[in-house]
Amino acid sequence: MALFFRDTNNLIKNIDLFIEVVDESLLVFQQGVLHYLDKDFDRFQEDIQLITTLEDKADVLKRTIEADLYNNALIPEYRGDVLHLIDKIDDLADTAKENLYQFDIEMPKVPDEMKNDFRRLSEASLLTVGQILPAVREFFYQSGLVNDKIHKTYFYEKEVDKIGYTLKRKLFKEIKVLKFSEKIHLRYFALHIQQISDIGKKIGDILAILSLKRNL
Amino acid sequence: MIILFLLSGLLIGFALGYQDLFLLLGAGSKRKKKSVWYLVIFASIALFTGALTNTDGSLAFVGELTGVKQIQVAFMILASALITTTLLRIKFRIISVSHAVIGSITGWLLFVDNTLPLNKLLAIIIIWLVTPILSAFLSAGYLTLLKSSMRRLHLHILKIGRTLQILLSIALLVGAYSIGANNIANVAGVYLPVFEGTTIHILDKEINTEIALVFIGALAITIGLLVRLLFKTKKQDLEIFEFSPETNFSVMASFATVFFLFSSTIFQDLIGQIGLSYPLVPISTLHILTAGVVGVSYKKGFNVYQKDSFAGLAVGSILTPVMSGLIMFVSALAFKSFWLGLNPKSITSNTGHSVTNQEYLNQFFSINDSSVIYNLGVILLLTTIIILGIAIYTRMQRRFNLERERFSDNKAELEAEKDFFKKELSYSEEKTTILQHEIDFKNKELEKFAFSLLEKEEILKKLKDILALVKTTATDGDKKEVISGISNLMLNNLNLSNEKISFYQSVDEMNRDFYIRLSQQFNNLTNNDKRLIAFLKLGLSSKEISSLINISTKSVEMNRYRLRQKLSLLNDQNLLDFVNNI
Repeated sequence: MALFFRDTNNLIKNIDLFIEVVDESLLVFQQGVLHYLDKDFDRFQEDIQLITTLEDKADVLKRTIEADLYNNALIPEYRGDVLHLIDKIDDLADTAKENLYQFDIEMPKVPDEMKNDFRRLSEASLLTVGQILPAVREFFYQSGLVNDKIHKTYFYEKEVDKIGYTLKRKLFKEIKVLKFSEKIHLRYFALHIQQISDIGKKIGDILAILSLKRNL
Repeated sequence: MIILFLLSGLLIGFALGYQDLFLLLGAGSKRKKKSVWYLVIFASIALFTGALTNTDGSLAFVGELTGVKQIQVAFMILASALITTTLLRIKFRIISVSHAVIGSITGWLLFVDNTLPLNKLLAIIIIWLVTPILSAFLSAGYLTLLKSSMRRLHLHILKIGRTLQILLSIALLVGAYSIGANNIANVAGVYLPVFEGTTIHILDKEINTEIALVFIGALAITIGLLVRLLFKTKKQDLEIFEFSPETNFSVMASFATVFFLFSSTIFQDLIGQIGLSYPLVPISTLHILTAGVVGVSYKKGFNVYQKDSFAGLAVGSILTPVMSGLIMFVSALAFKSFWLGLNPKSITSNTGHSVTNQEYLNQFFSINDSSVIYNLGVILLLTTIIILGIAIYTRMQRRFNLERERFSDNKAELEAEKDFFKKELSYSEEKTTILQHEIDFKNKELEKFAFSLLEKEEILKKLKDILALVKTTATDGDKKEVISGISNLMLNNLNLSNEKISFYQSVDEMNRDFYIRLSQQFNNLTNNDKRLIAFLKLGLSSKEISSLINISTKSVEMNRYRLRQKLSLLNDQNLLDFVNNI
């Protein structure tokens, strides 16, 4: 019996591992941002190396999952959507890595007054994806509980937008120590951090449709 | 010669196998190509096994029902069934070979005995009605069970997919086994009594002819299956199976269950042990599958078939056995007349009473009588030609219908395009009419303007003349001075130059396109020539033109003459008509 399910079990393991790797990469991203804000550049560099490794691992797993799904002709009616979902989850890891790289390359000047805001923004952004990745796991097992987590994702994504808006407003209206160009530069970093929650929301949309399809 | 008479059975077997592939492949849709090949090979083995191991089931039932001892009659029964299904498939999609075979047998029994085995026929009709209903309920039940199990077990979606693939394969194999058991009855059932108690020798071994017959029949069905696989199955053949794997499985499982219950002797023996029994009769693959699809579709809450489709299905189901029986009965009567024509003395037997149909049969189909063989050869040839002819006709009809559909689609498209262009044309014509009206209106305005100018000039000239006259006759010095002043004032304004400039500009503006056309055709015309032509188009006479452009009427006439030469007009050609036609 196990012989019939060998390929399937391997594929399930790979999918679980892939989600874990992406989850870890997001945690490393958050740590990286915090280390940068605290000016702990040694640890920041370690975070960059770690996130690079994790992102590469996620890419390899993604390709393996795609190949296995096609080779074993499993779930043909959902395959396209599931692969699209996997692709979007991989975008999370890619975005997290790129954002951290940009912190490293561009070295934005973050005044002390803004550090807490950036911390809050990155935490909120991670909360959004913190809901959606378990939702993805739930979808693969039982689609009934998926919708609760999707709603929470949407809620946190809106919160991220509000925090982002408040941050930018504060940056341009209240902060006097920075030049206009520095403010613009910093604004983009806020956008980069918000991007992660936006991708989380898109994953929520895909999950919602998949969950509907499964119930038909 | 025997093989020729077995031909109709083999053809039916081939046709059934050919058709069964698309049913079985439906279960294997959306799999890898290699998997499909493996599936079909195992299904073929299961089908073959089912046919060989269920000789006591529907195969025996058909043999017993027919009771025919002449191979030629068996051939005719199956030929009638084949002709019926070929003809009816032109009109109806779902036609059952089993129904046709039973119908043929019924027609034969009516011809021979003038009576029908009503008990057996009733059992057949009840089973034909019960099996699709059972299939519909079972498919809906399987779907419900599957969905609730999936919810309770919390399996991973990939594991569910894999499990369904395995379950579907099992259903496929059970279905193939049962189809084999069912279809062999259609293929070889009527031949069984013919070869009862006989043996054949193959490689110095004595083999029961019945077994050999079943083997050949099963082989024909399997070859049909494999041949269909070699011709790529088109997507539309699998359209009916564009369902989710759960639905697919429910349909196949109900199909396999019903067939197993009503074709396989295994379940019948089990039931027999508790004192119950029911006959195993040939049942329709297509009807049961259709009923399964209807069952799941109603469970899901939508209609797969419309009312007229159901009506078509019902009509097809009733028409098939009736038509088949009729063809068989009429053929038997025709051959009886044919035999009578050749042997008129056979009307009465040696004992003096009329010969029964059975006795005709014995005389007509006696293999030892060589004069009959020629007649039989003719019958065989005719039947084969008819069947081939029908098949070719059907194919051509289908192609023709397809072409006609394409043609009517093209025609509809062309008609729509034509209407569109007509509308465009009428719109353009309307627009042209409107623009022409505008041009005419503007020309009239210009004419009025020209005439008003001319009138003003006339009036002023008259006033000038009157004043000149008064001036010469006036004696008072002051009055002379006033009159002189008024006269000078009039002279200064007589030429109406501003209005004229404005008038020329309007004429040039109105006739811009006309001037361009003139220049293209006659590049030796000056601006004054073009203006003269424009004045002529406005309908002004030489005198009016001379007043407008302050030259004498004779000069205008000279200009007209020069214009005629430049335009290369002949003596009898009118300048105005020529100009209006440019």
